[in-house]
Amino acid sequence: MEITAEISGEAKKIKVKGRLDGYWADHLAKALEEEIHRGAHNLLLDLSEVVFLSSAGIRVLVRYYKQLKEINGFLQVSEASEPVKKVLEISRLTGILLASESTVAAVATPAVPTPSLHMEMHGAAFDVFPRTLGAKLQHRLLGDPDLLRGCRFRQESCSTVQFPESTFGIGLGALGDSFEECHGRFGEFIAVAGTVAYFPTDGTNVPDYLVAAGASYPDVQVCYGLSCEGQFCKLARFEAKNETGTVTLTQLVESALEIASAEQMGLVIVAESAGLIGAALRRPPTVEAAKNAPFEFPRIREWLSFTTEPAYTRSLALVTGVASRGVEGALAPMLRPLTSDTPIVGHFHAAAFSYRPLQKGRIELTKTVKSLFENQTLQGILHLLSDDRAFAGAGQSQFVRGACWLGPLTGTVEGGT
Amino acid sequence: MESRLFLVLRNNLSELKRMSDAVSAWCRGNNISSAAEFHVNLALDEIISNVIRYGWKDLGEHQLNVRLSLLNDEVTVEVEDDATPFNPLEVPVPDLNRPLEERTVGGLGIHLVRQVMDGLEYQRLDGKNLLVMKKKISYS
Repeated sequence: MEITAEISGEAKKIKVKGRLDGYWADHLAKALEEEIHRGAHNLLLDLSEVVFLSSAGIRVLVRYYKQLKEINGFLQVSEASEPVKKVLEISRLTGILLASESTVAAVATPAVPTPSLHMEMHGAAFDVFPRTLGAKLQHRLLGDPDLLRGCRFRQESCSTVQFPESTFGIGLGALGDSFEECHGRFGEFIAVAGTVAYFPTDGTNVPDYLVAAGASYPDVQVCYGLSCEGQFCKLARFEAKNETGTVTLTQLVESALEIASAEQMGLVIVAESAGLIGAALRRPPTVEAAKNAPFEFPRIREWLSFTTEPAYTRSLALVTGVASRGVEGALAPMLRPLTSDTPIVGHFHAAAFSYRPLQKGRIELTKTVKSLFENQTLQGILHLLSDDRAFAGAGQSQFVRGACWLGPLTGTVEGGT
Repeated sequence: MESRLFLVLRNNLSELKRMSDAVSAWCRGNNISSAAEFHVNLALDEIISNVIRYGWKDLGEHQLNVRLSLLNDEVTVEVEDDATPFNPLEVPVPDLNRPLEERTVGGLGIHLVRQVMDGLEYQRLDGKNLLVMKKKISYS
């Protein structure tokens, strides 16, 4: 079998020569998977030199037809040999998979792009879509981060918080009705667009999550954390444009601060990950075990699990948090250096999901995030860190392409704890 | 005059190409039309790849016997294997009138076989699966 690909207007044209039988169908599947992963969401297949097609080949065509349709892309057979036409016909797929001449002509000419601002900086290209003019985000600190040292979180220092659709948040907490119920399983949580996910520290090792049904939002028992509410002012679609093919969290945050023209900002990222670096608690921070737990060396590894090499290298990551150009203001207790060589500080949590390509262009936050929980497998949750030890360091989290909703943080929510 | 082809295949999907080459050469040698040649190859690919993929629980090497014979304008194709008992004729027919999103993936292979062949018969004989497929042919 021979598979070649070339760009044709809005689509990638893939020419297949040879047999699409029970043996070779898997090779086509791998080739299509690779094209989609590289960002081609519109595929035209030239099967004019395919001498044989069986149900195994059909299954591959149908699988990627459905996958691309879900993300507003398409897969169509632009040219077909007689055997291919015959098999499509008896499978009643001609009208679905075989492109009409007008379809082929339409995709061969580039579409008029949606108005957006194109910019390139810090190793990536961005297409910025304005969202809500003058939109602002406000934040609210929850609990006292200092109680983590010594694992001193108790009922009186924790609170019950809900994260409605217009909010996002991160911190240490658990899904549940009361402190008593949750105190043995508090872990890193991430809340975005009415969904909450956290990593229980009760030894189950499986992330737990809830997606809000209607306007009823789950209760989160929070040790400490951060809740932001308001609206994002911009959506920036990004794609790495450098020799490594990936962009780091710091590069992304630096660009986002420039795009938002802000000193402090909140953001939600949904992106194809090339590896996440971070840590997660292994034991609940409520047991007052040792004065310096969980950070005391050498027992720190009993308390925290670290990624010693990039984890979730081919996943779809949901990342949220805040960033700032300096440790100032009310946010200060939550801010940590992103890397040792940048003045930018922040605090980010990430949820890693099984990979699937992300729809291009202007997408909607709530719909995108909910479909992650509904259609993909939640694999893990991390507090993102950078490991910039010389030689042994695993570096920092990297992304290939994705979407970033961002907005300046303009102050604290009134009346809040 | 009767013409025969006998093939012994290993349970490896890479054998499909070798089978198809041998079947095509035999069809051409007997002046069988290219449409009928394609249909016989399609039916064999569907049946054989299914047996190779799902027929044996162990990872060991097994054999499948494929016999083709041409008599009185009809090709008879026999597939014999010692895999788990499996009657492909009992596979439910997929509803191809439903929208693609609602169609089940299974059953398409045997549907294709039914469409391109003229007769199908299954027997379990002496601990073996025996599928006999008939195809009326025209000559090129």
